[in-house]
Amino acid sequence: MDENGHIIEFLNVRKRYGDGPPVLDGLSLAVGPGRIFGFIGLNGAGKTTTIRIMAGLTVSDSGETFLFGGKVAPGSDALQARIGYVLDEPMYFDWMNASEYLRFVAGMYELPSRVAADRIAEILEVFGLADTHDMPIASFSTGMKKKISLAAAIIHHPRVLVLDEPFDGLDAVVSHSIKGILRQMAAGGGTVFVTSHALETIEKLCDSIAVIHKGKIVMQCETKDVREKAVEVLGGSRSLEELFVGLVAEFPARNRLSWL
Amino acid sequence: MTRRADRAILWYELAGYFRGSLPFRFIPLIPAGIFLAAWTWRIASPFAAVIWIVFIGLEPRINNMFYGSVRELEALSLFPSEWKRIIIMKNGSTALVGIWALVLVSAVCLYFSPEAVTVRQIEDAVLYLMTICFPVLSLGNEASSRYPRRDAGAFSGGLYDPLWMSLTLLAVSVPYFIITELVEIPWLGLIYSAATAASWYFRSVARTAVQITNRRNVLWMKTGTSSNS
Repeated sequence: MDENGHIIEFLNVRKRYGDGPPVLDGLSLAVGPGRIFGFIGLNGAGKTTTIRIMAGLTVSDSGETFLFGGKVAPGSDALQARIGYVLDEPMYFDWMNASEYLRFVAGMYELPSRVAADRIAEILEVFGLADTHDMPIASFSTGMKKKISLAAAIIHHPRVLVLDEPFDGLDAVVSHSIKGILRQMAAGGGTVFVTSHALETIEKLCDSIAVIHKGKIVMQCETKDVREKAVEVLGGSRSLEELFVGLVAEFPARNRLSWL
Repeated sequence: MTRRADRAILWYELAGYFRGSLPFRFIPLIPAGIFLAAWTWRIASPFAAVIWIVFIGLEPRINNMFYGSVRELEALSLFPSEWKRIIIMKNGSTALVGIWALVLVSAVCLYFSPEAVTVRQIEDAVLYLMTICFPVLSLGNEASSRYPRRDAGAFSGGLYDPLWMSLTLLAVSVPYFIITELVEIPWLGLIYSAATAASWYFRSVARTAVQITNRRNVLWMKTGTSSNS
């Protein structure tokens, strides 16, 4: 944690791929401990790049990123040991079965064998993956793959959990169990950083929210203050979805078809 | 004592290799090895064919070692493990797979060899392998981190990659021939081998680890599939 009590902090971070427009254009945001932080934006707004910079997978052109008060830099392994990631594209090795993969991940985090075995058994049971036995992850459904990704991200009990679109393609039951685990983690003092297009879910799940648009934060507030913000921005009390559309829509956001 | 992460990588490498398609590379190579071993026995040790087949069969593991599976490089970088240790474990597992392949290819190819193999030929083959294995691994580390190929299949890449491996083998064989044929002091081969091992550990492994860390933006773009922003 830094001197201001932030677990995650971006300071004026810029990133551009090739000659294209900036993906992150002076991004600054901070997240404290014990919070579920929702990070929302349109496709291409810069959410995934933000997460990849946090994970050390992408290097920013300028600006600084801090985790636990330490600067994210190539080879910052000690920081990464305290974080769990569920990225938008699968990072698992799909020829393994669920239990092999979790054993591998536990080994990479140096978990003692006994602890790893206990946690794996419990996770597989809670996530409903105990019956998958020798099925390779490649043959899992989308929901099962999301669950195994989340299981791998939390097996070492990280202090920060970063999730990119964790609810995409999930049924209500799986979403419900994932939300429960995220709430449990935040209640235990952990920090959850989550991006999603499911604005209703974000509004119900998160303690605070930031909206990114064209690489800049255009709004950051506590979830309980969304209605107040909506009054400020739109001149009336609206939902997060309407506030979001009001903030980022570059053309009149029509929701009616003339011929229908 | 090895760490759990080292053992996890070693298991990942060995299980991934034997459950994947790469061992099937040896199926078309072994008949070629039988032919070569039968053909070259008058002019060279039958082990020459065996060793060539083994290195061609292991080419993707040596020259493209971070593409055992899609997004492997990115996935491994999310763990708090030093790249130096990952590279050592990857090279170590390649050596273990190489020993398996040597036994397999030798058993098949030498069975068809017209002449019985002598103890001297085995000694020469072991010395030869000792002199070339670390240089080949070092060059493979360089190739893997500088020019990763976006393919993971057993037969992808065409003829270019086996040809490049053959040229590499020829180049790294030169010191062995100087030591055994010109200078004719075979024990010098042991000293040379120890020197190449030291160079692999202190130079190649360290350099490759730095390369991966510093060039991650480029490498991830080459090997990853992410296009989201």
